[in-house]
Amino acid sequence: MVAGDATNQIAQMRRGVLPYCVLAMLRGTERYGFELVRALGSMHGMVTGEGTIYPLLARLRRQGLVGTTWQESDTGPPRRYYRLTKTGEIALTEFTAAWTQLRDSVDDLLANGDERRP
Amino acid sequence: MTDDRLVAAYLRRLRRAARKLPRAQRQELIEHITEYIAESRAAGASSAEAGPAELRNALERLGEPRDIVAAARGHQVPARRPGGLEIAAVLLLLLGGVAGLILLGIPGLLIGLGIGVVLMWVSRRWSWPDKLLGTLVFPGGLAAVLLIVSLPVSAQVCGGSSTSGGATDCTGGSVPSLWLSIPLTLALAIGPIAVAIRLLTRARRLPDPGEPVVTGLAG
Repeated sequence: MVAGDATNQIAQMRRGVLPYCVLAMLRGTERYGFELVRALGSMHGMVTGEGTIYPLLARLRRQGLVGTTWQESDTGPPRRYYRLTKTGEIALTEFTAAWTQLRDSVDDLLANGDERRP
Repeated sequence: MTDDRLVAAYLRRLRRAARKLPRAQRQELIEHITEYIAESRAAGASSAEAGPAELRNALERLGEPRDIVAAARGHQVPARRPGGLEIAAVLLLLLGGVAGLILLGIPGLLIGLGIGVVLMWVSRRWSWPDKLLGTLVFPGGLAAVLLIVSLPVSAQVCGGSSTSGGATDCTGGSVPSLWLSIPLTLALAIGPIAVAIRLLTRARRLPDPGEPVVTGLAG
């Protein structure tokens, strides 16, 4: 580990959690591609280009974690809506539990690391 | 530059960057990006700041085509090699009948064919229409072709010539039947060979969208 490496590490972590952020955005609701991509793109530091999210959506669909349906739109072309599948829900639940635990531990260490000597 | 030309130029750059992606993935990506542009234009048309600036902003938000393609490569699911089961099934479907026929006669043909069909239906790589195709074209594969060609063609030629002449033509029937049977065999053989190629290609294909793949999400 070297100074300045943190940025790199964070970028990798972000890549790792992005699929679950997509799943989380679909919890209990359907969203069409553009809406999903714009929302993720507006989140600070989440993605570089909004176009790079589409390959991820395609993979989640291939993996059966999200499903898609076409729906008519009032304002423009038909829209491809994404929803969470059963498999996707399970993956999201598992991730949420693991993430919460990890986050709490890291938060705790970052805040009180020096007070934890045995 | 007009809006349409701006979009066309962007999509051209995307296509060029994506030319090394597998075809299905490339088409899907271009479709997605086209959708995004259409959506942002539809949204822009109803807002006050419609125009080239708005579109430029949308393309900027999309990002550089080569970055998008790099992301697509990162999410690529490698083409699967057909497993031993699939290769055995296709070989038996195509050649199992012939091998069985040579070794054990008609029972051998049925055994070779039967095992091939069972292996194919056991595999999960193929959809049922593909399996049906593999079962029907033709049962016994090339053995069926040999049987079809060897039996009726010689009889037909013999019978056809006997109407014009006498029984003497029937002895010479084997020569024209040979001339007929070679192209006929080749024509018929195309069926099972084409199906075998199709099955092998389909065994490599990406899993169906509905088929969950249990692997890590990160990547």
